[in-house]
Amino acid sequence: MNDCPNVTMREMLPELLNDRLEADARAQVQSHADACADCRAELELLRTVRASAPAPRVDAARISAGIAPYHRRSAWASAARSWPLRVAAAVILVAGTATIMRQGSASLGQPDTVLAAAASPALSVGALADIPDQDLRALMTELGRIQAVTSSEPDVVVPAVGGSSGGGQ
Amino acid sequence: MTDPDRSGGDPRDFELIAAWKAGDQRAATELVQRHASALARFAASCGARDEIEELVQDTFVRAFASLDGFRGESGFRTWLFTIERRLLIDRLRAERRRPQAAELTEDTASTTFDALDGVVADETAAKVRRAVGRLTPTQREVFVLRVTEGLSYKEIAEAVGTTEGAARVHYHNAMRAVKEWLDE
Repeated sequence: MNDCPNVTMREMLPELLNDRLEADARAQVQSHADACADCRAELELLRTVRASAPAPRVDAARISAGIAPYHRRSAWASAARSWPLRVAAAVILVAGTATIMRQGSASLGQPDTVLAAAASPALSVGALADIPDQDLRALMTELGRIQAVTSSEPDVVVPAVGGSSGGGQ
Repeated sequence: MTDPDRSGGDPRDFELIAAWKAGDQRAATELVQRHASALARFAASCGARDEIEELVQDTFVRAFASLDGFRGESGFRTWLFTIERRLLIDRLRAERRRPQAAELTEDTASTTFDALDGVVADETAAKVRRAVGRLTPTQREVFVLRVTEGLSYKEIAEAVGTTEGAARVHYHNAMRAVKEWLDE
């Protein structure tokens, strides 16, 4: 079986076979194939290939039954499912927690608010997707604020045994 | 020259996608009916033997779950082929890792076609099927998508993750090989 030297026509035989040409092009290619023995033979071969392709039966009803209804994800929920953002959120959480702990251990008179924050249960990263957008936004803002706060608590000074002076500034 | 309604994005697919997003579950059913057979044919032609329906269903489930990420730059069917091909590759890799699993090679792919020859009444069709089965996996993917599914080189390139030029070369090499084998 020879190849037709008219590459342009030959290239469009699969499109002709699958009815993917506009009317003018279809007429042109069909007309060429009618007159060209090589293209006619190739078109016949393509028809045989398509007809002899394995055609397993599938149950479309059963397949579509497994498709869940559409549920639009919010931008925040999508972001929470993104691995880079999860990692970033985890880093912020760890850094925020570490800052709170450091502040708590470095001060003798911890303010109640810091104690309350330190005592709050840890948030798992995987749970981020379940947090409403508004709460997640507030949480991120709060964590950013905590990270930005520098410790203003006084250093702890251990009184000297039997010392006459104590306290520090 | 190519009819825009028959290439790239079929407008009906986009209408159905919009309807499904608006809550019409029947639109999903119609989309499955429009494309399931093509996905099954492609899977079988690429060497999938068992659980083709499961593979097709997984393809649709994954596609519908990530439809927000479908930009419509390619046709919906082309996008489905891309997803199915990735799932198929993952499955074949998993099969290879299993100690007693049959490895997908050129030989086993040919055997798949050979085994089906018994039900192909026409001798020429059987020879063609055997010839297609002898192609390399990439040549076969490209050849099947072009001939059986009528995809353009651009769509094939998107589906199999290559360039239009490479898809064209694979197609012509496949065609040349099939002709040679049929002339033997």
